Amino acid sequence: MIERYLSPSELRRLLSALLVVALFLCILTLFAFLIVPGTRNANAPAAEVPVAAPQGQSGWLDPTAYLAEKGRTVPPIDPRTVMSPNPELMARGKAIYVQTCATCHGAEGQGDGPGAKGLNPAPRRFTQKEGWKNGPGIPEIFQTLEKGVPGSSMVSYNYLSKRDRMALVHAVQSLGRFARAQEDPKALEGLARLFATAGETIPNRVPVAKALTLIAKESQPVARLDLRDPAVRAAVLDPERAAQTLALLPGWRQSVERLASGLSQGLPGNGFSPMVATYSREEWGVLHRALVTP
Amino acid sequence: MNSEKRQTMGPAAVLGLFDSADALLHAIPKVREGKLGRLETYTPYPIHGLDEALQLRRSPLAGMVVVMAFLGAIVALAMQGWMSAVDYPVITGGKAPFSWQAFVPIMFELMVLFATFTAGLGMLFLLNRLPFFGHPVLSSRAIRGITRDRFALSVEAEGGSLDPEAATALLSAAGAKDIEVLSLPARAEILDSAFILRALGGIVVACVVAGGLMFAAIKLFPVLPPMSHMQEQAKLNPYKPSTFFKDGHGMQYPVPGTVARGYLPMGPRTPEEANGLVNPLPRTRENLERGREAYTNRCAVCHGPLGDGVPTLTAAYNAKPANFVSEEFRKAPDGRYYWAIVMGKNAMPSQAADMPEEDRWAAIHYVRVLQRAQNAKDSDLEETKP
Repeated sequence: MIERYLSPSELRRLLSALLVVALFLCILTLFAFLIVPGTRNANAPAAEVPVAAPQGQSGWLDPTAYLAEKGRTVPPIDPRTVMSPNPELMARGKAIYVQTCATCHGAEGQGDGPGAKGLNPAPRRFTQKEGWKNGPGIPEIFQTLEKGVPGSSMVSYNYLSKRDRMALVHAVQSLGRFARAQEDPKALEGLARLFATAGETIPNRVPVAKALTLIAKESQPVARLDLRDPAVRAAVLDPERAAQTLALLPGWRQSVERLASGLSQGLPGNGFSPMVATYSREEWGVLHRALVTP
Repeated sequence: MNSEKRQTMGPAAVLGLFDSADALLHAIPKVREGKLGRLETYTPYPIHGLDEALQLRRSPLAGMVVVMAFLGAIVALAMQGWMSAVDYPVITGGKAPFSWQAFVPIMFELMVLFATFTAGLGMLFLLNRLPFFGHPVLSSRAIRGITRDRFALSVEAEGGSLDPEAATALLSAAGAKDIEVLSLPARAEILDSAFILRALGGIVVACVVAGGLMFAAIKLFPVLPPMSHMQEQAKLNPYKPSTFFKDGHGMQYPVPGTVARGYLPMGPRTPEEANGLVNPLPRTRENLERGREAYTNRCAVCHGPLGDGVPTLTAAYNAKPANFVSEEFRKAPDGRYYWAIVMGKNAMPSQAADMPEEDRWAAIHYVRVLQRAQNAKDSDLEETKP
């Protein structure tokens, strides 16, 4: 039908012309949609997308942003479940031992863990009978976990629950390779009574940011130091720090010695001039009088 | 001897002058047939057809350059291969000793170097026969015309022999308007080889005498070094003796009481004494925030972001850092923390070099914040409710 109006060669020319025009339009569209807006916005700052602040347990990554939680009291435990080892308790005790004790005391209790190097006194060998500070019995080991060993690197582990501590006691005892003496029945009974009577308190928790705000709010600004006295002026390097030091140093108003030792130890950094380290007793007296009587 | 030599040299060239370039081009084949010597033309401007008329061969420079370029590349490859694989085989980047890919840049460089030097020096010295002091044409009468409107054809001596009469006849037969017989120019006396030798000898003697005088001067006046470089200065050398100090050592102890920058000593000598330290930073929001930063940067990796001693390290290495939230550490004085930060504690190294004094105290404040957060008062809970 169309051949009545156009010869085949004319049709071919028309079609190729249309093809060229279509191609040109395609390129123009690409240019208009992609390139022109791109060049127009090349230097424009990216649109600010509001990002939700990370929330700890309540939302995201920050571990200090957990939810506030009211403390509660855990009821007392049945002494029969913990006073003698049972498989469940031993498994728990071994797990805690690996996490908490093996660093210093060694995986086998030989006192040869990687953290043991350089400790003075050296960590206890659980396999050795002699030299236990508190003794290798159940109440004694429990006591060590409760209080730590003062003067050594063994700190108190009373943040573990009582059941966990008893599990640890049995785990430690199981490492001993010596015949244990008979336990003192009275001490055992006392320990059992402790478990049966007293529960445990799990403290309140608030988010760390909240605690930070609270502490910042509670801290009282200390009074400014009176610098009119020449003795004070000579002794003070940083009045703000010095005032803070004096506000927190206990008992310095009562004795010159306490003031002298307290201030000398904090040098340098407590706001007082390093020269006070060379003060004689008389000079300390003068400074004390000047500080006490404003 | 010089005058004799100049006489034996004889005429160097016979120059014929032509009025036009066409006359020159037509004359060349006739003169060439005489085979009296090497032909050379001197014209005010380049003339087409001269090369063919003189039957000049193609310049061999391109071939020389190609050969030398390949030689340069091969030399570079051989040099680097020998150094890297034979003489001093060091494994670099986990590659084989002879890894030719790494040699390509140097091969390229040496190729270009050989090629350019061959092109430049070969053109000047091999093909153009430089240096050539005092070309006879330059001192001829005809040179003025050659640089303006005359076209010269010269028959030049090849191997030191030239028959000037035959050459003159040949040139005039070929149509030369003016003919000039040229000889090598007489050199100035100052360029005599004997004079040059004497001058060089004098320079050598002068150098020897000057060096001897300098040596004598240094020996006689040792306090006046002729060249005092920076390394020869009057300074204390730590590992050398010194006459300045009584004990004769260059290295001395610092003055008693000297404090190195950034290493302020700590007042307390024992942990017990340190317990009496007072935190001199007020618990302002700024200081607490600073403490959070310091704690997060330096402490949290081991003691945990909550201070409970349960960080990732515990799971990975069974490390057991202190649990600040426990009762013992809640009751511990600030000085105990400060001592541990400065002196280290058990497996913990000293943090003093990485934490300035204010950061330490601020971090201790933040530990108190962490303790408060996990042992909060009942009143704190109420306030958190909206």
